[in-house]
Amino acid sequence: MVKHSVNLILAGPGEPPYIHSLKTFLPIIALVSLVVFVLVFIISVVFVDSNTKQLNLLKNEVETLEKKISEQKNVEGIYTLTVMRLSVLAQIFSSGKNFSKFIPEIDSLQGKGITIDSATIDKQGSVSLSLLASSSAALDDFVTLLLEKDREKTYTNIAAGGTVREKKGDYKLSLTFKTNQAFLQ
Amino acid sequence: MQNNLLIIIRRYELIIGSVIILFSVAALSNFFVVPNFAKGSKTLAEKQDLVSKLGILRQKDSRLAGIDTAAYQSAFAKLNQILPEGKDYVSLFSTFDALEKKTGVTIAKTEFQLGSISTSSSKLSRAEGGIPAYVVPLNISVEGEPDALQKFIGALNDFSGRLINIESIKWAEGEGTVSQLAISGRAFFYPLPSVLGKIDSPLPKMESGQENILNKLAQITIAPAEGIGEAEKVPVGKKNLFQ
Repeated sequence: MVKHSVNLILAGPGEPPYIHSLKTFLPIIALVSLVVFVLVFIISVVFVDSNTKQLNLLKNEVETLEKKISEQKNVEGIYTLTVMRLSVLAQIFSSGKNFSKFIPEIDSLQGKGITIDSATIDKQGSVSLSLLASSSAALDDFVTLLLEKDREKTYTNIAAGGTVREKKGDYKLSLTFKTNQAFLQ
Repeated sequence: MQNNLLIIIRRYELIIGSVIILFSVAALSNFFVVPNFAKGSKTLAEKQDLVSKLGILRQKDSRLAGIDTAAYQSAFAKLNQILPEGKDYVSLFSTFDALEKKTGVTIAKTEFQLGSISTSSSKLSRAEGGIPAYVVPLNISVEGEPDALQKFIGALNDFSGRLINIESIKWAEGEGTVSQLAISGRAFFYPLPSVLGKIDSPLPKMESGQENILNKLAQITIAPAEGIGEAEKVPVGKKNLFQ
């Protein structure tokens, strides 16, 4: 006679599928994260160590160079101060105007019955002249010369003050005008 | 009760163990890995700063090695006479004496506007156009032949003495061929800075205008201001600031 055994214990409620999934994947995730942590930690240690070593090497090199440069402080001082002063001097020099054409210009206006008593020029190129013309013809020639200069744009804003005829037949005249930019360069 | 807890633990031991490991990894990362990377990043930034500093220092070192100190010392001495540190009226007088001899004019009158005697820079007159120098306004009356007068005007800013910029000229006819000039101008002075800058600050670059002046200075000889011989008798400190 064959014996049959029957399990009469009621089967318990089955695990929900998400618990089953957790039981399968969570250990894998934990293991992977542990391995990644170890690797990243090792990398971070190597990263810090190599950077620190390089930093120390650089610090040494910088210190050596700084020491070398500080030994040349005198050279640096003389160079820096010379360049600073040269820079200021160059600025002053370029801001100045060249008045060397002024006297030849006065000479060029004189003669042919024209005598200049006085002339003034400033750094903006404004000129004022006080002159004596020996005759009306000389005065006329002088005015023609001025008109030519005006046409050439050598002088602008030419204006004559009062003209006085003196006893000897001379004409006394005062003039103002402005020279062009090139005149004082 | 205890048995129930043990049963639950045994049933979910894989999940509980995994969660403990994950929390431990998070905590360890927070305490070790994050600070390590923060430290590493800081070191890296410091390293980059040092690399750029090292570049400047190397450049500075190589430029310093190429500087002709003697030439610069000579130029500096000349610059002191052209653009001194203070008003230095002695060098103005000696400039005019030298110009009188050099150009053949006669200086009838020189007038300097002393202005503030105070050493406080706020009370000194600044040059126009943002130039970091101070001015000494002056008026000069000169007589001479037209050629000599023209030379005189040109010599005022040819670096043979104090640099003078002309503001205005009044020309008047004199006796015979002699003419008279009344020049209004400005001499300059530039006090040196007391601080030169840090060791890692780069050397200032020389522009072409400055180089031209430097070359010009190398070719000219400036007559020393009179009175220097007397000054040598007075006991002083270092004669040369750079030795």
